[in-house]
Amino acid sequence: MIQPTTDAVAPRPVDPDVLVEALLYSVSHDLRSPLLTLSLAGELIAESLGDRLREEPSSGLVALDALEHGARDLERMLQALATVSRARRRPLEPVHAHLRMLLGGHIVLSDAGDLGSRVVQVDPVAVREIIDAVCGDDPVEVQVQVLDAFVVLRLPTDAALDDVEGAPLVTLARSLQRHAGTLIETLAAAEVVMERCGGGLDITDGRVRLWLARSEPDAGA
Amino acid sequence: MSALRPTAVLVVDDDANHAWIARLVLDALAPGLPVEVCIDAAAAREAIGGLPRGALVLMDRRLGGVETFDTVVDCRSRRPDVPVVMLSAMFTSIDRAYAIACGARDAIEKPSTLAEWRSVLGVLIAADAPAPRVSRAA
Repeated sequence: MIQPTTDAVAPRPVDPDVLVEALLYSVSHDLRSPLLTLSLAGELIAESLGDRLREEPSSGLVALDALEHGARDLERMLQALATVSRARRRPLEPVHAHLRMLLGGHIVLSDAGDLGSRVVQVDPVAVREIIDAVCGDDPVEVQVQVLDAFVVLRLPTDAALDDVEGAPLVTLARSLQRHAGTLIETLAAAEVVMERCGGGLDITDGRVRLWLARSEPDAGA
Repeated sequence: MSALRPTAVLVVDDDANHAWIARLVLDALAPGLPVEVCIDAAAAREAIGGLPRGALVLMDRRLGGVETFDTVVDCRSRRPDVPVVMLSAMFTSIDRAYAIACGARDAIEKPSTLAEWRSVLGVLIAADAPAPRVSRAA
């Protein structure tokens, strides 16, 4: 017979963030170990038997190439997960930063008046890295909008993002095969970093939007 | 990192394949260098006590699913003369800093190619990486 209890407390639902973090780490770390074994074993076989296999063409050489190709492909996808996992663990130092400093070197287009005084809460190094990854080293036109509690930067990029909309993290998660090793992987990691700073990142109309949390006194008023 | 020129190497890794590959590479880089392998923390603790002066420990970051940072601390406290280099399939910058704070000489991600294994271990033990025995056509 089940005894009635008065002080029973149901387990709390698992925090999805904690679960995702643990899974990301386990998948990127634990799966890489056997992958390394496969890659290195393939190389060792190639070193020991490669010449003999080439002298007497057989399915062995084809199998060896297939093993190497498969291992490289798996490594590329696991690296994408590791990139996101690292972004979740990367130390960040959010500070009050002037937009002028973040956008230095680029051409700013905005109808929101003087942006020089706009202050946002970000890790400036991380944001500059994201801007450089998206736009490259040369000056580009960055459209700036002030929307409630955020300053939104629309960044142009040479990469073809026309068929991607919304969160790059979701896009990456939907198909590692297609997006691992591409700008989407970089943007997915950047999205994690931006969210950790209270902002966000998404893709719309072929452009990357960075949402920077305003830290001015009237932000969001 | 700088070369250590160890008198012996203890490889601690619960993945027997990785330990075997490390030993294979070390044997090729420095024939005659004593290399011992342990696949769990208890055996490693025992082996560390018997290492010759100037030995090097290559410690996997996880043994049986358990982090080995404490094992590094223990090893360094018992044998301060024995440097420990941590290896892992993945390290973040925070992990690496923590490993060093625990007394590790360095924390290195396990390379994914033999050439990189030869290079990384070659630097550690100050040996020249030998050319592959048989090169593979492109």
